[in-house]
Amino acid sequence: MELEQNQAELRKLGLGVAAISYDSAAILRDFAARKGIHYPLLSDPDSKIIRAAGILNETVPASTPYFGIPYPGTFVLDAKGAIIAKYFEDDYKERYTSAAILVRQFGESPAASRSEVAGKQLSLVASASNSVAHPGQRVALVLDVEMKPGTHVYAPGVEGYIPIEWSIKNSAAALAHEVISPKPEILYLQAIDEKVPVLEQHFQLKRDVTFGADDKLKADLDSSGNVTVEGTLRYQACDDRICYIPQELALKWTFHYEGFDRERSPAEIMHRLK
Amino acid sequence: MRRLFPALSALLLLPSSVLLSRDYGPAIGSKLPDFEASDQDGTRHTLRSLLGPKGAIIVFFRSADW
Repeated sequence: MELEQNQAELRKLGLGVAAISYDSAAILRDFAARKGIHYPLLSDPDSKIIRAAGILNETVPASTPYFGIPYPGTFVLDAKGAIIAKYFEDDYKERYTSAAILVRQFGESPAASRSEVAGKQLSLVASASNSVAHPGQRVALVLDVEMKPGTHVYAPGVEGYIPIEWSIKNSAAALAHEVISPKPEILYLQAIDEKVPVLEQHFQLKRDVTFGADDKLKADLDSSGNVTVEGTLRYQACDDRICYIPQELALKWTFHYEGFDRERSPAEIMHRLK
Repeated sequence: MRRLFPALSALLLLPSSVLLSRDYGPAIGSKLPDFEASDQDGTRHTLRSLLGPKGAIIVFFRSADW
């Protein structure tokens, strides 16, 4: 399970880790043993905790074995137990990975799917929070950009100049979300008496990508059986004297495809009609 | 984590605007109600016992069974 891979990293950051569901302790014990889970899976069979947290899914009919489930998501708590962030799905088909949360919440530099790209006036490292593409998972992509000393690029959305622009080729296999960019520096251009928002030195651009349904991922695999996400970075760098020719760099992230887990608990403990 | 079986998808045909504007759980800055529960090994935990020096990540998931 994805959280199992990242729980050591989370603990190193001083964070406790636990997951809660409406499953019986027996189901959770079986699941933990099968999957090699080493953090607490708390049993909330009457959905008391789920209800108290205000996330009981009330659209599920009470007569089905599915009644009692929560809207799935993650709470990030501080040392006193106050909620500092919540990661819940925009849509039931989408789930944040814990690695993506590590990137977004704690500014971790991801380690997966790394590639280095050298352009004119800048170099960058492209990486992802996860190396695996699983249907419905939402992962974080990061561009760590290093500008040549003395140069800057124009912040996204700027007018009158060519802003730095990161586009992703959308497909049914992967849908990109909006770019998160850092607060720009305001540069005063004395010669023309203008203030312009710029990014310079070292900065990070982040955006999430949500993988599509299993059949869409399978239809899009490359010859090695991997899922690839392609994009481009367009920019124009300037220094205090001149502006250089606009550039466009090709970007690519490669993920190992992993399909569904359809395995159920043993018959005697699985959820049944009430 | 598991995926809902197709049979369940009919229950969730809400307009996407309802899902997108929904805010889940207590407000940021407030606390989750205290709780006590057993884990897969029978060990009892409270919300307080789960907190590390920098806090905690609490994941609510649908089911380990289906």
